[in-house]
Amino acid sequence: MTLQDFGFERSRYERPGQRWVCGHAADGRPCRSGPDPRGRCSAGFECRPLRRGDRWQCTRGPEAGGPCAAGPRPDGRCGRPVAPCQPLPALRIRRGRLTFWIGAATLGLLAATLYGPRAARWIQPGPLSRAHAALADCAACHPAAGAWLASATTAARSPSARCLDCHPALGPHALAPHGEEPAQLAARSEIRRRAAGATSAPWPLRVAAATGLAPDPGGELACAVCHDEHRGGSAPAPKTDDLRCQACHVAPFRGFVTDHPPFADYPHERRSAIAFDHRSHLGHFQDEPGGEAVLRSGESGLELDCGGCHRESAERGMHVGGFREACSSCHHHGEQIRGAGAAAAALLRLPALDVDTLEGRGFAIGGWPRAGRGPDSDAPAAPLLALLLSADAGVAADLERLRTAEDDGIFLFDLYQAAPDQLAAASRVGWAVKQLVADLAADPERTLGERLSAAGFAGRHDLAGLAGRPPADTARATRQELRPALELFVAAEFPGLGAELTARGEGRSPAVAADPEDSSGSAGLARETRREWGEAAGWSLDARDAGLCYRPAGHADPVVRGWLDLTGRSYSTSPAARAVFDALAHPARGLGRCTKCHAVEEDSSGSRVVRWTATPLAGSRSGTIRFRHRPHLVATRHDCAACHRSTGNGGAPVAAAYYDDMELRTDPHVRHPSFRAIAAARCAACHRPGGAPDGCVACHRYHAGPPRSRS
Amino acid sequence: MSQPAGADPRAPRDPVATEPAAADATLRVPRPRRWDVPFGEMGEGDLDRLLGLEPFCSMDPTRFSPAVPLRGVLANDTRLVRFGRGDIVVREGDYGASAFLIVSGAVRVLAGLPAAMLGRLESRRRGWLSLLAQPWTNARAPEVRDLARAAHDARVAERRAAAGETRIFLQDVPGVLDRHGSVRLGAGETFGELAALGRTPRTASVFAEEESELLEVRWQGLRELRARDPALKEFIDRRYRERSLATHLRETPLFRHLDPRALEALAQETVFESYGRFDWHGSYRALAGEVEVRLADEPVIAEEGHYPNGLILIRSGFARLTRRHGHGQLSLSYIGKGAHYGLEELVANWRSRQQVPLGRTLRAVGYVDVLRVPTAAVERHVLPALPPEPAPAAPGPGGAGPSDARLPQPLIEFLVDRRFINGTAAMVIDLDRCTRCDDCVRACAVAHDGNPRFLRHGPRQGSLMVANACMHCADPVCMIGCPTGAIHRDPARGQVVINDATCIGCATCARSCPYDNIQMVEIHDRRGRSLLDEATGAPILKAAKCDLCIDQLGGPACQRACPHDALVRIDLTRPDPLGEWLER
Amino acid sequence: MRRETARRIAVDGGAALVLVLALGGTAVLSASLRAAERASGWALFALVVGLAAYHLRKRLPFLPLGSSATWMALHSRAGVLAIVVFFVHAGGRLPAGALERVLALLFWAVSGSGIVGLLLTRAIPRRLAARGEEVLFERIPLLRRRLREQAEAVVLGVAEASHLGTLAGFYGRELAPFFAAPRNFWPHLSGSGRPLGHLLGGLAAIERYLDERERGGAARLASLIRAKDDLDFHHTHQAALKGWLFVHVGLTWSLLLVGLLHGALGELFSGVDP
Repeated sequence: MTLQDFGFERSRYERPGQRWVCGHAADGRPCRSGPDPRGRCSAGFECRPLRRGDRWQCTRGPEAGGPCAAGPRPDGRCGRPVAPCQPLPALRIRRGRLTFWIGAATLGLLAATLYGPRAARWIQPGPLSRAHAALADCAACHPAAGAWLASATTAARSPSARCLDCHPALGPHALAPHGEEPAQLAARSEIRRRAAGATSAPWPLRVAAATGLAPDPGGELACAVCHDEHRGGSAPAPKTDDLRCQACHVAPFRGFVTDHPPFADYPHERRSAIAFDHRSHLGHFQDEPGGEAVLRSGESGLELDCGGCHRESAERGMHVGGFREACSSCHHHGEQIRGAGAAAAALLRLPALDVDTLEGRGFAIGGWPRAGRGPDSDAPAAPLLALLLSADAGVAADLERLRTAEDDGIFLFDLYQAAPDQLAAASRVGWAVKQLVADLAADPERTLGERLSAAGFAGRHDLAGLAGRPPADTARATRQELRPALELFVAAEFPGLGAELTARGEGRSPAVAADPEDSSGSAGLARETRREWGEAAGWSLDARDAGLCYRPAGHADPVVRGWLDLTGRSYSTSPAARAVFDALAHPARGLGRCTKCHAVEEDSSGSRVVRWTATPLAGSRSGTIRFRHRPHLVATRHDCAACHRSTGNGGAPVAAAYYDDMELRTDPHVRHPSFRAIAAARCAACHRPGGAPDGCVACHRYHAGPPRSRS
Repeated sequence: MSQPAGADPRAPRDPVATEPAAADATLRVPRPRRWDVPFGEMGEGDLDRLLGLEPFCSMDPTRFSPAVPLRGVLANDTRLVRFGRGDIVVREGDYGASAFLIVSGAVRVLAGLPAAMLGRLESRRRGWLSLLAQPWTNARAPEVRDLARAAHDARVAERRAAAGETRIFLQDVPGVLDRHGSVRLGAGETFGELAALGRTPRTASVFAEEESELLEVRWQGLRELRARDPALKEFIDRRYRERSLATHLRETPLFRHLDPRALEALAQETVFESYGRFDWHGSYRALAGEVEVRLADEPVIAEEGHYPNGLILIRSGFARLTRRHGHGQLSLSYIGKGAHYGLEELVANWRSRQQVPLGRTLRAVGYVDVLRVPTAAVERHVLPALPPEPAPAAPGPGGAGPSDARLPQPLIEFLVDRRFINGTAAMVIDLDRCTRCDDCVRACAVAHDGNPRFLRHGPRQGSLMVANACMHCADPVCMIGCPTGAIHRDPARGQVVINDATCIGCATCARSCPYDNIQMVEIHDRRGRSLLDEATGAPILKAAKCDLCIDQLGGPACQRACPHDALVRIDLTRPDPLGEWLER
Repeated sequence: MRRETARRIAVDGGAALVLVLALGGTAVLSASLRAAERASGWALFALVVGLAAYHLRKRLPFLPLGSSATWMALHSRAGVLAIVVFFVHAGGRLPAGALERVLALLFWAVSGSGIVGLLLTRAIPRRLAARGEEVLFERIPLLRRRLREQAEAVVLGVAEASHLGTLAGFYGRELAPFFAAPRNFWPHLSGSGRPLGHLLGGLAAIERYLDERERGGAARLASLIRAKDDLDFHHTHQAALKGWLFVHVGLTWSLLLVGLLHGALGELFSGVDP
């Protein structure tokens, strides 16, 4: 059966475009006129009857079914009223309204969230990383925060600067590539570029280069180029991949195996801090791969393994155990050290003085130790004493004058031919020595402090080292150890020193040597006690020359170490300090021979540093390399020899890099390692496609600088 | 009903509001009548002069109805136009709705002028701005008519009708003449009746050879005269046949390669026949759906199995090719104007001295003019000059190919039975793709002041639907009987359009459209008040139909608005375009 | 080559080209340490704006702006493209920020409804064409009313003739609600014929209690039921064809607004200089 009729009189135009539809349309009775454009029902009558002669005629059109049967009312009104309706919006109009209201609602909600109290929580693209979780205020990083609409106009949009406020460790050139100083980076990259020569970069980079999108190698890089914040996690993880590296590194890098340049003598770029010859200690390594790292020395059948000295640690690749754990088992408590070098060097040795000549010529200086009288003895003043003396400008000048006079055969210990003024100078030196000794004996702490600071390179804190104790008990130390020794010394060599000095202060001629038993020291201690106390601390009277001797207590002796640090620091500035340092650090005769094992390095300023600890210097490695032993140890089943191969017997001894028998080598880059350099091929064994990661970031960090802890 | 001639019908009639109660709802205006807008200005003197001329002087005024007197016809349905030397009167290919009587001077009739040379009138197009503004300027109320603009439009229509204002004339008349064979017509002769009555495009161009005065008769008038005056009828029909015949032969591709003398000989021997009824649409609508009945109403032109007694050329109208199939007739295809029938058999017979009977039956669908060129003439003049290749294969009675066209069989039956083959721009919708989104209807409405001009429903055949949208028929029967000529062909592009200003809402066109594609709409003013006839109180109706977006850019909006390429305005007078579209 | 094939090739080729450009461009930008997200983001926004522009084209159907079919083809391809670019821009996971979440959900809603709609517009028309009479959606209530009136007429006629309410009772029970409104939306959408079978079965079940005349009425009723069922079928599917657009179009503005805000915030708060 057919439902429809297409006759033009019975099927009128449908108007899908019209805005309103008759309310009766839903139940299938739409009126003919339909709602007016404004959606009001225009229901009236079905027709307007027409008067023909005396009777009314229905004028309903054919499309509405033709004239109705009933016909118009007698009064001429149509008998068929159209029931009024509530017009409804057409379907599309409803859709349009829906769309409009959804859009409006969206707009409203957006406004509400943007200007509402919790706008930040709404618009932030994700939670901050835990590292930054504390930063509650957006403005801490975003200048745009707050009046963000206003700042739309301002171009102040470089949060990188804000990052650096909290990350100064990245250095002054943090935003430059690798945070390196641009000029030197440019130089280096120029070299690399020349080395790379004509390269075939991956296509994106070639396109970038062609389109001028490639980054300017010297230009700055915002932190956000790599670090995505608002992604949660522990810290804004960097987005780095080989491609991004090659944006600047023009040498094509498809993988470690194929494209990595060969290692230059990795890992040792400097000699280690300790002149330790693994070969002499451990004999030869077993070179067969996989052989376990238990190493047997040829001669003394003692057994060691790497773990004896090296422990892997989270911070630095491998931790080298200190003297106690690593060495003391054999070199126990450093007997060798105790007497090493010029055993018990006279730290405070008086210069030999020609006292007789002085007295004979009327420049008497009172008592003077017998051992210290020239010309029988010709010992010069100990460098340390000279150092302390030189604190007094006058004395320094006198010493200088006398030193110039030495060419004429005039020495402190032989003044026979000296001119009067030289004699005067000598006597003044003599008195200065005595004064110094007295002061030291009276209050070593203050005296040392004053003298050193007068000499211009020491602060009070250095006294700690000098006295061999940490600052806290410096006072006690000097009182109980150095001072007793000094008092003993004075009592032994300068009886009546105090009286002499006071007399000289009053201008009277010095009295003759008083009775040695007279105790001029303040603390009235028994002579024996003083000697024991002094010797317990390493101080003792010099048997041969006139002066105080010091004997290092053992490894890491604070006194020697302190004096080395102190004088080394001003090695280039003060000749006196240099003299002290050279004396103490002499590889053969130095007190305790520290430098036999500890490297001495000279830094740019010319001052010298003794490397007391074995840990590598900060930044000693080239800044971008990142190597962790742990995974490799796991991979090699703790077989150190898998990578570290001995150089065998050949080659210079390790020590040769540190000193020859008479003098020190201070250039850390000269080295005779006991291990061969590790070849890239060794790494390539595992770091290959399908194996361990072989991308740039597997071994390199973008931010050059000191190795920082990575967990 | 008629008005005294010369009365100015275009005196502005201000709408008179009825009693205030109904004022907002309705508005009373005089109902337009026939001859409200006469064809042209005809002074009394002109009329007298014309009535003294042949053929009018020999007409018997008493034969005319008092409602439509001869003088009235002359006054309202004709006009006098002056042309200068070389001025083009009608153009080949134009659709014209009027015939011409040469009052004085002489014209030349010639075919095959290059289109560039016939400086075509560009028909009115709306400006970009007004087009862009449409969605906002379109009326909210349905079927809004602006009365003030209506009057203006009427004048525009006239100006366009009076082709005199914009004249194109031939620069070099002698050159044109010897390059193209031409016929000279002098005073007293007529031309253009062919197009006027047959509703076919002009077959030749006519230009004034010298200063001449022509009487232009629009075809309503011509029909009136022809109906009232037998002499004129006989006269017109004779001329009509001669003219059309000569031109048609010249136009037929088959005879392109013939020399003029052979053509002349052919013209002499050709028989002119016409089948079917001139007003087939009336009978068609009355027909029941029975196939037999419908076929019975389609007279046979040439029967399957008979021997070809000539080559048949379709001059106008449509014919269906059928073959006996079981107890019925299987439609193979349909052919229209310009096609020929029987050539294959003739060639076959001529080549292989046999007598192959006709393979297919040719039936007139509706009203068909055919030319029958006798076999002898064909064999004498045409076949010898026929290039050997391609030799058309003669489909014997046995060889029953499904159909010549690429259309599926039921579709052909459907198109022919329903006479959709008449449409040059029928709206065909592929229901397998159509998502019923009504974008086409909305687009149409936007392009027509908010009023859709078609209905997205209509007869179906399989998944194809021919929607109720004007097909702009090759044989636009809707134009028959329009009392005012409001419905006409656009002179330039031939779309059938309705001039609202002169439409009197008599619904003749809507009723005579066999496809229900013309709607009678009640009109409103801008405020949505429906306009009622001040006399009768009945709503004023206007005929509305698709105009193929004649005043828009880029063709029919409906077709371009279809997101799924499911809707097409397509020429169904030949099977091929539809076939191609179906295989798209 | 067929017109449509040519268009399809052109459109698909264009889409593929744009896709390659988008992905390649992102790779290049990220490789050259530039803000690839900014680029892909704005590209995506432009894409969505272009997609929404189809709505405007529909509002200006009379302008020669290319046929709507071409636009539709472009629209669907660009939609797929937008989804790909969205993946490039945001990755597969749901973003962490509240605003971004809303934006992502909006995008998924709009593109998802688009895909559903595409499938519907491909599948439904064939089913519609294959069944019942082609009717205009606006006309359906009218036709339904006619059917109901016919059915009531049949039932009343029969009831008056034989003064028994057998058929009338059945009509009141089963058919009155069925004829009163569109029924069985979901069964029709899922292509199930059970409801129709149920009604016809019920009618057949009471057949045995009817006399000749009543049987005639029942037969007439059955054909009316089928007609009404076809009508419901068309109503269901045409409604579905119109319904999905409520989501697709309804959310577009929100998507554009939130997207714009997201872009603006990105520009303001990004740590990477443009």
